[in-house]
Amino acid sequence: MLSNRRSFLRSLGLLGAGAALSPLWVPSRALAQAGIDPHRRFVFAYFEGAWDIQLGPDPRDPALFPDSARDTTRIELGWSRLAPSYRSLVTRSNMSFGPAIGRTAEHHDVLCAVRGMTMETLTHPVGARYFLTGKTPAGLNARGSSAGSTVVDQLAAVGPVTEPIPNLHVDTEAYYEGSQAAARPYHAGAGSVYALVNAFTSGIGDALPDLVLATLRGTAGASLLDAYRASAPTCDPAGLSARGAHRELRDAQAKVSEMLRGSLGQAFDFQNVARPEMAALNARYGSARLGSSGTAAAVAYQALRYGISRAVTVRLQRDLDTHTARWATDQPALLNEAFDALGTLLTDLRTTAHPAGGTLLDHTTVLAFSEFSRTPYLNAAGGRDHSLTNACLLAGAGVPRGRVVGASSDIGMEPQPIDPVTGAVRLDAAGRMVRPTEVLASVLQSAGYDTDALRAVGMPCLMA
Amino acid sequence: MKTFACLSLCLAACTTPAPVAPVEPPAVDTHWSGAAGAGGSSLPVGPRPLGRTTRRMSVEQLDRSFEAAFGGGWYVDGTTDAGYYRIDITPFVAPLLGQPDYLTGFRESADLSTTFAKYLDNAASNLCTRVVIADFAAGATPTLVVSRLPADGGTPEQQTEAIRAGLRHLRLLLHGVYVAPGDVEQTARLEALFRETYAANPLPPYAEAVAWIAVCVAATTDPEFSLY
Repeated sequence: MLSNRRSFLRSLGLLGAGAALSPLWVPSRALAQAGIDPHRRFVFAYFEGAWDIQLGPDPRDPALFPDSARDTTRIELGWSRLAPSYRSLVTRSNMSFGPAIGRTAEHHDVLCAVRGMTMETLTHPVGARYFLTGKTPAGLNARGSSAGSTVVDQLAAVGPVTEPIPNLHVDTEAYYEGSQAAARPYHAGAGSVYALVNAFTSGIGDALPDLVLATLRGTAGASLLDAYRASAPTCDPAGLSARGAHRELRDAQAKVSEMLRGSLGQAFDFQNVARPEMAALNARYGSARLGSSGTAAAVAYQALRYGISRAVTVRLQRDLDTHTARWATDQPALLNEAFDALGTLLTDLRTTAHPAGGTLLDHTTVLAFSEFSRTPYLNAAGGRDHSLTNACLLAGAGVPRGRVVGASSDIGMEPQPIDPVTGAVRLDAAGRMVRPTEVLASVLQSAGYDTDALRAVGMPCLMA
Repeated sequence: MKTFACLSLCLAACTTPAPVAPVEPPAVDTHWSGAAGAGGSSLPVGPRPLGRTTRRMSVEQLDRSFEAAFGGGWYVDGTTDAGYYRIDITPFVAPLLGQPDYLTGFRESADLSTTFAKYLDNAASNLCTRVVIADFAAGATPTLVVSRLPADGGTPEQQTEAIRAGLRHLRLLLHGVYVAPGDVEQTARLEALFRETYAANPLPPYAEAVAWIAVCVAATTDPEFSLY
């Protein structure tokens, strides 16, 4: 009987045990010489479906914006429709958040809330690809590389990238337009971290009888199969492959072998709560429930903690496209789950020591974003439609701490230009709109990365 | 009213143009450069047309290729209290390999990712083991192993031609490359793997089967199988 998911996966030959992981922290002198922070890591956390910024990063006080004044303010909070637990602002120090902000609010002192952004689109995939790449898509098609690919591409151009999965994408789209093979995104997911959890915990032979397995793997060093593959001619037999597809497949196979030898899957074996580490993760994140926000956040933490990835892009939440009355029930609950997971991730990053000194968060930049937001007033169905105005949250290395940059307008929550240096709203000709391009340029530039591909430079108010 | 309806039908019949027999377009087979056409025996070898980049098979193409080469796709089966069960794996992992769900995307990804490489490894392990074991058990209509070593204990060193015949069949079956008898270069790497696997196996009675599985896995995961 296929008693559960684990036994099923085991029957596929995708599960197994491996050696313990060891942290991989290899700072590079070459990187420092190139001006790149050799220790900097990145987490890009995507809220899919367009979040309601009123409930999270860009709230309004119901005392100042009563629903009865909707025709004047063009803002309707609709809190009376929400569950009682989502009817109060969360105020910390100089920063207020919406009622669904969850445990993320605990980290107000290291957060930078960017408000009043413009997305220039109301189409989900366009907005998502815009924020992932920092470049306006051409129609629906993304242009350029996603931020994680940009990071690793520039790293690999300077020297060897030591992380086994330098550019990890979990349940998110990834784009790669660089020239370095190491920057090619590793995808996991499609609804869960199934592939990541299971695919690299065992070798080619787990579907084979033990006898064959032993022979193919060999007793030491590379297996016979690895040796066979390594003996392939270096030229492309087809001779006409512009992308070098043969080489790409060989590289992927070599990467698989490398991952198997390192038993990377152990770090992501979230359902194996019999292991103390996984039990502890599950207690903090709820990571054993595959596909949850907690799993996505736990993937990011483990990938950084063990030095597995340089840049991690995760989909922290999905199904936020609440055009109907389910806005009142689903939107706050889904946001709250994701912000709780983000808060736990920030807690872990703040409390885990980095070998180079300080904590993981001191060397990690976290960006939480969505493709755009929801209208500030309710539609006839009791939901919210798409709004151009957006916000995002930054935290960690290279980011101003405990700061709000920009603001949406108090009438209709429209995007507003800001002073690039002070971050204050500036409505004269010197004001500049904040778009995903400026946010990503700032994130990259703060770590010493080149932003020419974005045709933008970072905003001083977004960099520490 | 009935008269009017009949009149309408008659008018409609009169004004409808007579059906034209569809003309089948001529078969396009120019991509089989080097082929002798239907019924010919030549194989499509030689350089591809300029401008044609190498790509990998889609998930569906892979599944159909497995069907053609191995008589079936990657599946796991067994017997439980409820009886026999069989689960086809490819549909299960297809989204991980880039097959679109037609909700959030409609273009199939053809990335040569580590996930794809791992999928090929596992699929090849499953398929090759199944087929070689079946071949060794049945023997009448072999799918893969067309040339067994003699049962009287012949070793690879003594049966070079039998091995090479099998490897030539493997190249034809999985790579579409016809290797003429005597052309050892085209099968040299597989032959070396066969011999190494055979020699490394601690249990000689199974050495031949293990060696065939090894070369089968190697050939199935070779770029020449999944790229075109």
